Amino acid sequence: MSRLELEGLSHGYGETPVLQGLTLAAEAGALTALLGPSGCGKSTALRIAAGLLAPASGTVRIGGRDVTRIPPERRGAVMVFQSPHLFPKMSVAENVGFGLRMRRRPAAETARQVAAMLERTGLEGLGARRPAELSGGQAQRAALARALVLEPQVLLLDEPLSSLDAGLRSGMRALIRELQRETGTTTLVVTHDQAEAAALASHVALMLGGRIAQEGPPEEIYARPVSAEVARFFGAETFLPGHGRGTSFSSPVGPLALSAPAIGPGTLTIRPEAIRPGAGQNTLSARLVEAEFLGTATRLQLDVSGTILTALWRPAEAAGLSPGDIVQIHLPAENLWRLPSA
Amino acid sequence: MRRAPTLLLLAPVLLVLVPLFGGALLFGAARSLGHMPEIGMDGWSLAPWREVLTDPQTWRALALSLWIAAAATALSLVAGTALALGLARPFRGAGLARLLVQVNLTVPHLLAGAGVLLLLSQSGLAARGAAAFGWIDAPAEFPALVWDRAAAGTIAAYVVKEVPFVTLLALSTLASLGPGPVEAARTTGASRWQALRFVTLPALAPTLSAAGAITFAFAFGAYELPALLGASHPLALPVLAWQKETATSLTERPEAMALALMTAAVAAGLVGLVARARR
Amino acid sequence: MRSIALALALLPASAGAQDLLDLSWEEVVEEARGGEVNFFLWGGADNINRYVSEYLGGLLKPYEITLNRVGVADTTEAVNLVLGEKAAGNDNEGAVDLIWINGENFRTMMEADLAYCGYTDLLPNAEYVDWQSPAIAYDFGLATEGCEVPWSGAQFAFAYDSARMDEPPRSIEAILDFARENPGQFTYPAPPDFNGAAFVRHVFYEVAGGPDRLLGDFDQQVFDEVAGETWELLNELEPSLWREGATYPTSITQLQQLFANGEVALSFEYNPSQFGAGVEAGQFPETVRSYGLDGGTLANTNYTLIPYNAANKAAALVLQNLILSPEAQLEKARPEVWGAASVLVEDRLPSDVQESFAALPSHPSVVSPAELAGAALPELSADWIAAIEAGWIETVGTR
Repeated sequence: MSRLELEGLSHGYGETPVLQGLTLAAEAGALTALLGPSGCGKSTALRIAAGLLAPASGTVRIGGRDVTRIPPERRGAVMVFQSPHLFPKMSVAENVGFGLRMRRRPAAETARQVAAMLERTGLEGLGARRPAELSGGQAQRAALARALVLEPQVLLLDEPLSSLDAGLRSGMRALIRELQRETGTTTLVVTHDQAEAAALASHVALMLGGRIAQEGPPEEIYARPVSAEVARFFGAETFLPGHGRGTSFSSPVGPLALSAPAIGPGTLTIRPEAIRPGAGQNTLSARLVEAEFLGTATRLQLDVSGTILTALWRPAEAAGLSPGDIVQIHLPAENLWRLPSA
Repeated sequence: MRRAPTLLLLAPVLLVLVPLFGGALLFGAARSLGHMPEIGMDGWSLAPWREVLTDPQTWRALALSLWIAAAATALSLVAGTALALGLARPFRGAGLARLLVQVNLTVPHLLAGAGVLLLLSQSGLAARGAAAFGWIDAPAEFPALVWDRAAAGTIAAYVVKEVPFVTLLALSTLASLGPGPVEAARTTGASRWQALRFVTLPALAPTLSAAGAITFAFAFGAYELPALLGASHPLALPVLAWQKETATSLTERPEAMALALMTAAVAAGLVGLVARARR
Repeated sequence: MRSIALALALLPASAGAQDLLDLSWEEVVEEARGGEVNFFLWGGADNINRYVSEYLGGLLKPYEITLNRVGVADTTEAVNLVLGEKAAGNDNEGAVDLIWINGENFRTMMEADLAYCGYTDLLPNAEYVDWQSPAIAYDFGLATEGCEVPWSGAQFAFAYDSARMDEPPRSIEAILDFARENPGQFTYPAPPDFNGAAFVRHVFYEVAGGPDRLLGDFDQQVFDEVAGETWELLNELEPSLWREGATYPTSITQLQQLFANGEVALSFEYNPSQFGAGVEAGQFPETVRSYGLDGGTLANTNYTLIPYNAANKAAALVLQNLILSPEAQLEKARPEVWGAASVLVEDRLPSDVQESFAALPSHPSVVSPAELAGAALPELSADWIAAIEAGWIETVGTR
């Protein structure tokens, strides 16, 4: 069990900087998620950690050892890619045993470990097949097996679920979590999907613009974003600028009661599902602009004296409403989060 | 259902190719059997084949052509693969380097031969340079690399011409392969060399075997370069065939055809072997 | 479009071969007017190509005839083309209208019945030619029989660089001695190269004690006797040759390259005007000189020939007539143009042309035809030539 540390990593393609002093740690034995929108540089960071890319500056440490200049095959970090990249001319078993063969392990030992790993990843009986004869889920599990059979100090997963159909994702997610817990391998998983990050990892680092914007348990980032960008990434759409006067906040929709005192100018945000129907704390009267039925929820655009608030209600709660109707809503004070001033 | 349309699509090409090549082969086969009615030889005879197969010159020519083709193919594959691997990585000037490789493809073989002559003959640039630097006393002491019995000059010219061909084919295969498989190998414990040996080369193998078969068949059967750069003896098989075809005595024409058919058979046999191995 | 082209191709030639011989010259010219003529000839010398394309092409302009010069590396390629057409049954629309030819290729054309014959009287300029002279009437021992029209005389000459050598060897014996005393400084192109084979014939004559025993029909007994000694001599010479005789140049072009680069000290050519052209082109130094041998060098005449199936016979006849004109022969004789000897009888030429011939400047690098003609050796018949070539290849070249 080794801690992975990325410190001050910078990298660019041509004139475009991709990483700007990225610093991140994946705790020993934990599953950490590196979350960020497409193109934010998180895959680049992972490739640098794996040794497939050299950083312009910065340091990679595994278990305290500086491995920045160590070639990938001797780093103790193994990466699994978005697409499985199985070797087409080798059987599944040969694929899984590839790394052991490269390390010149005895054939018998390799065969035993490969068989065990195939069984552990639900691929028993498929060892003789060619990669082309596997389903997408089986291929991704074979790729995972090929990495884990090496018992790496650090496992790096690059969007491991994105090439799978929605139906297969939860199974794969469970497998990754299980294997990680059993082996205790320090794991860093890169994903653009906040739900996936929250479901997999106990610790999430959100990367925006080549830097870590916020990290911590997923629930915390979700409830207490440090900036409007972080809040937006997690689905917040309502931002109310104004002025704090103790436990009251003057905003475009009127004075709002706060659960914690605030002084001076600032911005409040509230998640769409926290805006509730009916009367309660901070009750407001709103005119329905638009309702959009999404299946498990209905999304509403509500106009409160010229400011649009976005709410997400259960379909039953929104039943019978049509645009133009005046509805009563309330904003519970404990769900109003005041963004720290920059 | 799927076969008929394919044949139909190929029909225009086949209509041209089959009579052209089939006709030429039949004509050549007839002539190689001493059948030349246009000069009054309207019988059939195995004599030309007997003459060709018992002539030691034939066997020396076959051996030389096999050597030229094998050496040119091996060197072109090694150099072309190495160049493709170098050019496949992104670097400053990669576009220019690739363009230069492509430009070389348009150089005619004869011109490449003339270039080799200019560079490597005993009065060529390399010989004069070596003499000027005092490495050898006189240009004439430069090793005989053209018009030599080992056909070094011919092989060099083929390598100059075929390396870009191999490179471009390999580059396009590498491009369609992408960096993924090699990165997967590297991160799962393969050194640079092991990734090349176990992942890249197997992926390139079908391309390289096809390029190798084409290079071999071409270097084995083409006339210009061994004619320009070869020794007076032994002659490469196609040069010997051409010498008999242009011999002023008409009776050598059937022997020329027998030699040409022999050349074609060896080349076709090799391409067939490669095609079978690839299946 | 295609069907029209096909229909045109199937039309019979507008005037059959037989008809043409019944026409007057004026009618032949009218028949040829506006057409084209495909002239196949060895394309290895720029000055000759220029003379043909520009000068002869220009002479054809008033007749509105387009001249297509088709260069070949070996005249046999043109012979093979006609042969292939005959095999394919193309007896009227052949692609070759005129070939520059002599010797063994002429024999091949005659053996395979590929020549158009009997028209030479039709050409107005034929009056300048002495058709009875053996040098014209026999092409390497084979009667031309009205199937060929002479173009140029040629005589073999050797060459050396006067800046590197005071006095060149002036006999075959002296040349062989020179080769032995100066290892690596001499070689000759491997037969079947035309010039290389001619050099070997010079050695053959030397061993035979002169051409007399070799003239006439092939004699196996004489051949065996002379050949044995000749091959022995040439094999013994091998270690002294360029590259110790391990290889020979494969073409005259290659020998001239070696000579130009100073790799060998002597060269030769059946067409010594090429040494002047080489100097003018900067290939050879100005100090190159060509010369004949005391015992004489081989001489021959070269010709033009119309294949039996030529599509444009009338235009080919017009071109042949122009080739024989005093003006064209004079132009061809100019050293800066080509320097090839005329085949016309000087006495029969207009007096101004005679004077111009007399006043022709000579190129310092080109031995004068008159000097060479003082000692000329006759060429052998094709059977002899073929036997010598085959013998050399088998006994010397592939040893």
